[in-house]
Amino acid sequence: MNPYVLATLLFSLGLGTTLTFASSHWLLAWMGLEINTLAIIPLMAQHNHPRAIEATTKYFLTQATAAAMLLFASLTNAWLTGQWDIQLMSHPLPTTLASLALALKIGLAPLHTWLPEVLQGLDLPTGLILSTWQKLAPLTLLLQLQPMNSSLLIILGLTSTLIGGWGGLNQTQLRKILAYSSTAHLGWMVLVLQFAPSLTFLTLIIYLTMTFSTFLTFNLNNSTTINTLATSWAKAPVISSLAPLMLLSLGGLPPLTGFMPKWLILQELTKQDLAPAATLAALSALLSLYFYLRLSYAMALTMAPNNLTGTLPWRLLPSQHSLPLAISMTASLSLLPLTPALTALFTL
Amino acid sequence: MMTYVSCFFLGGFILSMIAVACNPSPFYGSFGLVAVAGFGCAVVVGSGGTFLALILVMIYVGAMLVVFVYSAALAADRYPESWGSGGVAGQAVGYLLGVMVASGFFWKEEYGVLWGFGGSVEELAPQRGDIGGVSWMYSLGGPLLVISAGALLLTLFVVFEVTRLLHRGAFR
Amino acid sequence: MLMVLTPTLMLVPTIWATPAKWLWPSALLHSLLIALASFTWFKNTAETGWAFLTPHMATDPLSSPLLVLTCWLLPLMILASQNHLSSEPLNRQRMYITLLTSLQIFLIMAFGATEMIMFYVMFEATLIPTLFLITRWGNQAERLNAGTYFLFYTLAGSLPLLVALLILQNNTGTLSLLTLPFSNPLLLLTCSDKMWWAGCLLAFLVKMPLYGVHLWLPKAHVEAPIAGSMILAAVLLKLGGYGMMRMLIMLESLTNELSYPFIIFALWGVIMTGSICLRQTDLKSLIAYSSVSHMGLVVGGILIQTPWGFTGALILMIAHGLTSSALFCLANTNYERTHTRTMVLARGLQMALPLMTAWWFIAALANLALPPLPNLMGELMIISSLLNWSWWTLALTGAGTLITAAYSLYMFIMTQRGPLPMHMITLDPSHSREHLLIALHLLPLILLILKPELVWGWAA
Repeated sequence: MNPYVLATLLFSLGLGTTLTFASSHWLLAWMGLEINTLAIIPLMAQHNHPRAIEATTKYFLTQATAAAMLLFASLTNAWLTGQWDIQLMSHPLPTTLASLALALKIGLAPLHTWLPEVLQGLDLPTGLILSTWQKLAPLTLLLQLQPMNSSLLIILGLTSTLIGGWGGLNQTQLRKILAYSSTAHLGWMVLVLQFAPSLTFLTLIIYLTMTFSTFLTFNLNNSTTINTLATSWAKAPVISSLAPLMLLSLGGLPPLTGFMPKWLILQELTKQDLAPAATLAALSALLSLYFYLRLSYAMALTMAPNNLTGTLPWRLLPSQHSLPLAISMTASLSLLPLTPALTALFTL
Repeated sequence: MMTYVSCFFLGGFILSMIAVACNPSPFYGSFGLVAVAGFGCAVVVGSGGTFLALILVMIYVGAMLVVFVYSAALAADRYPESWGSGGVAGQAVGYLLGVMVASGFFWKEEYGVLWGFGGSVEELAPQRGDIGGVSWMYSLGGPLLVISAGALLLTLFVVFEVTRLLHRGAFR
Repeated sequence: MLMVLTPTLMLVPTIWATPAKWLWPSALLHSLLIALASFTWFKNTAETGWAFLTPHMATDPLSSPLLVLTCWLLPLMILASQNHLSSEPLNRQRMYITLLTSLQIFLIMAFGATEMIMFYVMFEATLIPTLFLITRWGNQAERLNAGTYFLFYTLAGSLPLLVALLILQNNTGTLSLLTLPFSNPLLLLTCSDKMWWAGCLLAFLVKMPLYGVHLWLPKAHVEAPIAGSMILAAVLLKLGGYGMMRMLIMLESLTNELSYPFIIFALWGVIMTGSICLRQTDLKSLIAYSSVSHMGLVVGGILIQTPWGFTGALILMIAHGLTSSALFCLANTNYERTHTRTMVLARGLQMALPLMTAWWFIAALANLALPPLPNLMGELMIISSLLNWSWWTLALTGAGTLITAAYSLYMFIMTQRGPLPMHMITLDPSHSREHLLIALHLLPLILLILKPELVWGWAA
């Protein structure tokens, strides 16, 4: 791709999200989302592969549907209440519509089916953009909505955590697994959205860190299926020994960073007298943990047989920068002791 | 007289919708889109939004041009299916029947009144809705216009980038 | 607490900085010094029971025996693993010892925690090193299955525990072990309170393990390398008993009725797992099931909630920790020579390794609770407190004791007596490392006869 075009597209990608961040007006926020969607499309299709084109088309259609629904919701809101402000939604109908539209945009559970299909068609860096940067704008909108119907978000959250875990169980493709893991994490975020928005924000940041390091690890290993993970010990021994910790952190096991958002969310839920929902969400994390565990089995805890020349690549210098990976990996493993500082930092 | 004209516009709107929906070749489909756009704008004019209709027509004309060009470029069939060919005509007839049945459901005498355009209330108002929109756009909406223009430019880029893939065998 | 915790943390740089030749001796010496330093925890003169108090950690008579046991186990694990890791590359050996050290760090923080939630976090944190021990360093393909069982059984129990602890914190405002006994007793009447009771105990019952949720344990023991089996039997199971003793203070009014099914399950499990031991062919699996059987007694003693029950449970936990760890070490010495865990294939070893037979004899006697040993002390106290609760338990505990004796005898005769099979021709003689290892297991056990008040817990 021409570097000028690439620069333009990346700039617009940033512009769209920033526009959505900055706007208090529904129309402008919608426009930001549309710019965002448009800008990533050539990036998704850049590899001229029919599978990528298919993914792009699916992505475009779902995002356009969601954006149209969002526009409809904001128009309805303006019609019913005379308000265009995002934070002044007072009628339940447009609020629910907008929440559902945003749920479709980020891929929450009953509306998540596009996400694995789309992510499977992309290469890993684009998939990284799709599952991190593209979630930011819709989630900020979701954070600003004043939820009218509390059970809607809880149902969305619980189904997401359950289906996110359940769907990934049967996958052998890393990108599909990551898509389901994204759905499950978003479920946790939405679960606590109406009680403690700052906690959603914190969860989002930690999820982004962990996903970032996961995608970079897989990218470094150049692997997209569980089977190809098996030889990663020969490519990057240190990373493949840290990777199971990172995956278990993604699954939320205690002394790792991933436990922090789960802990805080469960605490908030029990504070709101939602202990059954908290227990269900906590147990659904086991489903996700199972496939993370399977990945770490394949990656580091078993030694796959390898031919003699296959064991040599660790002597070569890695072709990518490892500094971002090092930083994000450290953050995604060892932030749990810093919980008080982080919760203070991410107070909205 | 106005009632007949608006009836004509609404009927044309429905017919051209059917013309798009019954799935002809992209070439004809985009022609149907033009017709939908034209009739829709005429309906808006009929209900009093002249400026809005003007803007809409301009945008539609620009967009339709692009759609025409790219549908011609991307999907030039060797044997195009117009509305006369078998499957398409069948679908069209089906949709038409569907519209008739659906309208038969709602057909009551009191709806007949609504078919005319009652602009009388708005003519009494000191400021028409879409004129107000014009003044807002010129006073405060400048940055918004710039962003919209940017977004359109981006769309052009995106379309260029995506259509380049055609030559590399991306569409199969 | 830092007196032990800091040297344990510094053990990691020691491991990575020492030259290859001195790796094992220096790690062993360092960890042994830590274990010696940890003996100071026995000196507890505080009237409140809490000593060595820091803002987050403290010891009391209940936790200090377990803490010392944890510290004592690390040099023994290093000693036991030396042979089977000798063929591994150097960095992997270092990684392995680091893993064992991290396990000790987490365990010290778990037993020393004064906050329930910190105990919970560390209780869970021990899962990761143990999982890696089983799945990375085990020998057979089934180890992955065993690791999955281990992780998911424990987590399925302990995630409700987290929610239950958070509910407790909402109700009382604190989770500190120092203040929880003095908080207002909770009014537990509704059905959801009963669920909460179950949530509080389930994690520990799975960890113990209670009969019925014990399936992960034999698998994990069979597949784990020797150090994994040792720490699992000696300390990790005791996390469950320790947590239950801590938790039961808050569950006051409900435990009286709700504990019936669990006590019955535990005692039934003593008999059932003992009978399973009697027809076991796999040596490690036999020792694992005998652990389940002993832990059943401990569960019964704890759920009775009398001072005798608690004391007996603590004594039995410590004694069983040393005994079963010694048995696993002995099984491993056999395994390293014969490369099989099947008892039919590795029998009659008295002819080949006579001194080992002496160790086997003492360990088997300890396992069946021979009179002066602390094992008997613990079992007697538990059995008598159970008897005080209901006469009928004597049928179960008495039969359980008998079966324990039977399978200990079976294990001893099967592995040691009889003619040496013809296929065993070149056995290594016993190393002095192995004698040292077993001696360091059994010596504390014998010395505890002289001063059992060290492990009496609150009754002291």
